[in-house]
Amino acid sequence: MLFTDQNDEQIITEYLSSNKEEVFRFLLNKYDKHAYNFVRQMVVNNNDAEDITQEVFIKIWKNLKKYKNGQNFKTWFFTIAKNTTIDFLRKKKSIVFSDLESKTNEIGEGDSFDFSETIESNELLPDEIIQKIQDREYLNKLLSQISTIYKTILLLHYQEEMTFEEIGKILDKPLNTVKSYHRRAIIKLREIA
Amino acid sequence: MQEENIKKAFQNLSFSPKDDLSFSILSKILKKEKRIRRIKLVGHSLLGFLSIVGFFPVFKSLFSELAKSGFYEYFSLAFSSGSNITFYWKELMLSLAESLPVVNILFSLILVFVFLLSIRYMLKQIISINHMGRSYV
Repeated sequence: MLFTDQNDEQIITEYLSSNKEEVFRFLLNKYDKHAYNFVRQMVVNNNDAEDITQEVFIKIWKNLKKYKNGQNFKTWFFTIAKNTTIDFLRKKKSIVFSDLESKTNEIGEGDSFDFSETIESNELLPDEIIQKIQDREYLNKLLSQISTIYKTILLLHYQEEMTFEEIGKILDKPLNTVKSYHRRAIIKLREIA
Repeated sequence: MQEENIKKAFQNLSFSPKDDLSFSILSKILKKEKRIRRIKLVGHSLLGFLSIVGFFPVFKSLFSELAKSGFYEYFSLAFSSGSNITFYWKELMLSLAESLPVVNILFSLILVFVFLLSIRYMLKQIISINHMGRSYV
């Protein structure tokens, strides 16, 4: 297929210089499922997820000129998706990211809590839990019980296969904070599983 | 291995959009782009119209300044008594240059430039709107 041998940056440069819709269509087809899935995990409702996904791509289209060459497109894309979803949740007066972040201390029971001591270095989740979360419904239920920021990190890391550094850029958090959140998320999963 | 199993579990959880989602997104973008192009078309048409309206006072003032400064007289000298012109052509050129109403000429040129530019952008918007209608959807 056309453009398959080009990276995202080259495709965007091509679109901005030619303004050909098939170039944008290629980018859209490449990322629409990722965007929808990410948004859908956050908002629960299918119709809302579709509306937000549409909004995400309209923002992408409007802001493509602001995309800086050399920037990781996937990171930039998910930053827009995350911000659009948060805006939607704020408008709906659902739980927002900033509120949820304060909840992250609930596991720590104090600032000096060292999360690295809680999880053995080679084992994220016990095999029993890993077996249980292979069930889609069960994992979905678990994720609905954890805060949005934990969920976001887990989804971006395990579903989108993004590094903690990339996730840090999306969430605008330092690398260590993201790693710490990831550990807390895993601990939370272990607690509720 | 553990990480791979967790990835597998999360990837099973993926939600897929309806088949027509990308079509809906493209249609929305098309609508927005058409709207933006129409607004630009109106803006450039208005600018073109205003520059045409501006032609009347600016050119009127230019011609009256040319008449006042004696430009026409110097200019007509260039086409009379050929022998004198060959001797005094430098002085004549200088007088012609001095009699030019520079500010008025500048305004006229700017106005012509704005008019041509607005025509160019108007055509660009019209072509884009027609092209979008055929190709996006």
